[in-house]
Amino acid sequence: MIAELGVFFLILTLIVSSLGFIGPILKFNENSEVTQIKVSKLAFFCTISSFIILTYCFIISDFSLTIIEKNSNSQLPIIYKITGVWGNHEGSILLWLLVMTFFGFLFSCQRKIDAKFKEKTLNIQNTLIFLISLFILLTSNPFDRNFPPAIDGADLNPLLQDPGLIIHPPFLYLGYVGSSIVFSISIAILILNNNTKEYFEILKPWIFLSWTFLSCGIGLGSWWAYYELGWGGFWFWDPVENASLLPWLTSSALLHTIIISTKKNSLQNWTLFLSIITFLLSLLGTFLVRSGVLVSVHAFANDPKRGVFILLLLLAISAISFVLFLKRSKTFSNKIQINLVSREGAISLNNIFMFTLTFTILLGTVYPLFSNVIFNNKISVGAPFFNSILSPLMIPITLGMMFGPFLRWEKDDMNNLLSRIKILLIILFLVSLTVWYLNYKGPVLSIIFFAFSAWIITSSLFELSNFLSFKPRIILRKIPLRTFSQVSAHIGIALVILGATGTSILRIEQIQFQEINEVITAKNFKVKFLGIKMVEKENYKSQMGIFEIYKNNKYVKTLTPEKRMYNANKQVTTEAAIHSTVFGDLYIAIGDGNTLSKNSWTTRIWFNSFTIWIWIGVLFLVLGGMLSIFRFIKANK
Amino acid sequence: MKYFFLLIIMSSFGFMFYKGLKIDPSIVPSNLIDEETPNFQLKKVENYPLFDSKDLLKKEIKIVNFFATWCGPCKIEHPQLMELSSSFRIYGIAKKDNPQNITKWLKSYGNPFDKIGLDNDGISSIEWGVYGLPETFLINKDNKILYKHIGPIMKNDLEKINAFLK
Repeated sequence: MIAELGVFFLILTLIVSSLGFIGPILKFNENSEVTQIKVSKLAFFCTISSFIILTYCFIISDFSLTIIEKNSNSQLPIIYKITGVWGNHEGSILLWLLVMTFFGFLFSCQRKIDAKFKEKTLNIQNTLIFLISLFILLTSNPFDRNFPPAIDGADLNPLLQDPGLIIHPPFLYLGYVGSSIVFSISIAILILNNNTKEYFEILKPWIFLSWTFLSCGIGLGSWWAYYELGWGGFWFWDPVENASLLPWLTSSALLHTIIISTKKNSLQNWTLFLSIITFLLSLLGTFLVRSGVLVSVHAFANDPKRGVFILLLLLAISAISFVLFLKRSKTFSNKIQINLVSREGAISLNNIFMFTLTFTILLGTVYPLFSNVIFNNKISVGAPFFNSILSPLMIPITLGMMFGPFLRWEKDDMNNLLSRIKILLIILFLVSLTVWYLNYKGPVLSIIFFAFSAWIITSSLFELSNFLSFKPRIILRKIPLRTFSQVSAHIGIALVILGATGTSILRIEQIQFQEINEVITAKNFKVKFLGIKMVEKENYKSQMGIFEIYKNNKYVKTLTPEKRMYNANKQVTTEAAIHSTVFGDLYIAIGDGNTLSKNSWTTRIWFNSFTIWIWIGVLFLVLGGMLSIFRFIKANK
Repeated sequence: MKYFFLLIIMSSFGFMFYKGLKIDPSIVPSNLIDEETPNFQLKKVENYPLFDSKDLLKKEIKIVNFFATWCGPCKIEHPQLMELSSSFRIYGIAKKDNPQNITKWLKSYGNPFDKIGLDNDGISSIEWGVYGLPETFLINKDNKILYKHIGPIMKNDLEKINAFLK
């Protein structure tokens, strides 16, 4: 009965949100802004009620619901019963809708926005909510019943029985779907056809908000894959990963152009274009993930009917927004010439490279599909392609991050710039020498990328040092929050480059049969295998390998990688064990026993250099975003 | 004009995605089928004759099997290889393995292989497009690949393979 209430709330969301576009046509209310605000709040209330009901059904293990029967089990720990809500297609689309209504709700609460603009934005947002709830009700209703009800469920996919599932999807969706409000605002600006700075100021914090969530979501996903799932790496260029990277790249570009749009009144059309593209890429990502048109490690169950629906949605939204953009973009183009040697110039140039990167990754991601359809030829585009396009494009992007912040707005002069940063150039030279000296035996590419990372960090710190004044005593002048957030984000990127380079280029890998008491050396660690222990837990049995780790002949700790066999569906998973240090991670996974000798097991031992810095980098990125958001909140008070 | 371009771009994207919905991307035929076998170089395992490219030029049907002693499914497949070895020449390529283990393995389970080679760095496996173990290739008398079997050869796969070879 309670499940029917969930469906009822979903239908209510659909009906209420339909006022998003019917309202303005019927004009049944003089004060249509108020109507839209009410609609947004009501839609959020209905969706969250429906979501809570679904969560409740999961908690009480109502196996008469198909998705619970397929994705839960009575033995499942309570926390995974809850996270199981979004560990499947139907539930996760409901989470999509929830996040979308949440952003609509937040926007409807924002003050100091002129009524017409607010009404138009919420119009669009509510229309999107209507379309997504229609999608849920027609193709992915989470409250579908099965008959006769099952006695027990099939269990949640063991890979998803992990703390990572608690936070990764919600954050990713906050970022992904957060771009919907950015889209709605941009379309509202286009509809009103009014190129006023005020509207772009309103747009700005939402871009930072969704970007911050998206960075966080992607970072968490990568962390999860590496530490918890034992995939042995942090990024695989899998279509689903790319699908989340694409909107991240365009919204990173957007972060920079919006600054020009609000500060210098130019590039507004480009800002609007990027806002639209970012949301469309999120939708495209959803299409690619949910329709199963590409092969992915994120093997989600798929259904062509859903694919067709999302495709139609994607095409319709793209068509309408592009036509609108083409019609109105003239209003938003200022004929101000941008100097190449200026802050705007550097940002624009960097934007071009970011966009090139986005487009190339998109092409690489969907090309296997196109090749299959057009040439009937199966190909796969993998890491080598993506790495080879990323590497050269990193050069201009790095240079932009290093020198961009030192350029003046509007017009600067090359000589002038050089004299301002001559000390920095000397320091950079010394830093390069140090990097080379520390790693001259390593592969050339690793030296180059380590240098990039060190350069960005150096120039970012140099930027901060400009706020030091040395006379008469060392005093730190007040650093603007804006500078702090920019420096933090740039250092974040530098640290991600450091970690990614160490992990991918300098990795040491050893696979072998390891006898009991045998010692394997990896970098400066010695790994001694002590044997296998059988462990039994609530919902799985496990073979646990016991390894003692020594560094310089001193005992450090014991690592226990596992091979788990889940009771409910007999699925086997590998749990890697990791010893993390700032210089790198020792990563151990166990395989099968040797069929010939009882005392030896397949073991894989890696040493990944600097991996932890990837996530420290992500923290810096997120910190940068949060500082900006904090600044907007303070300014708005 | 610009709307026309938009229409063209969007409809072609839409068309391709729509078509893509009807194709199962997980079916991947080997690119090497009907092609000549790739060149490769392997290391010798002591006491066993070394398998090299020239062996495949013989005018007869033969089988190339990628395996490793650390691979569980390879053990499951072994009896079927023994059975096949009575009617065909089978060449073995051991991926990322060590010679002592191979010797032990062949002594305890029997040796279905005519010749054997060790692919220590995994480069030959890449040449053959092998991405998991075990994988088995059927090669005709003109040194062209007839069929690729991914995963262990089970009892019921033998019929399919025999049909291919006849």
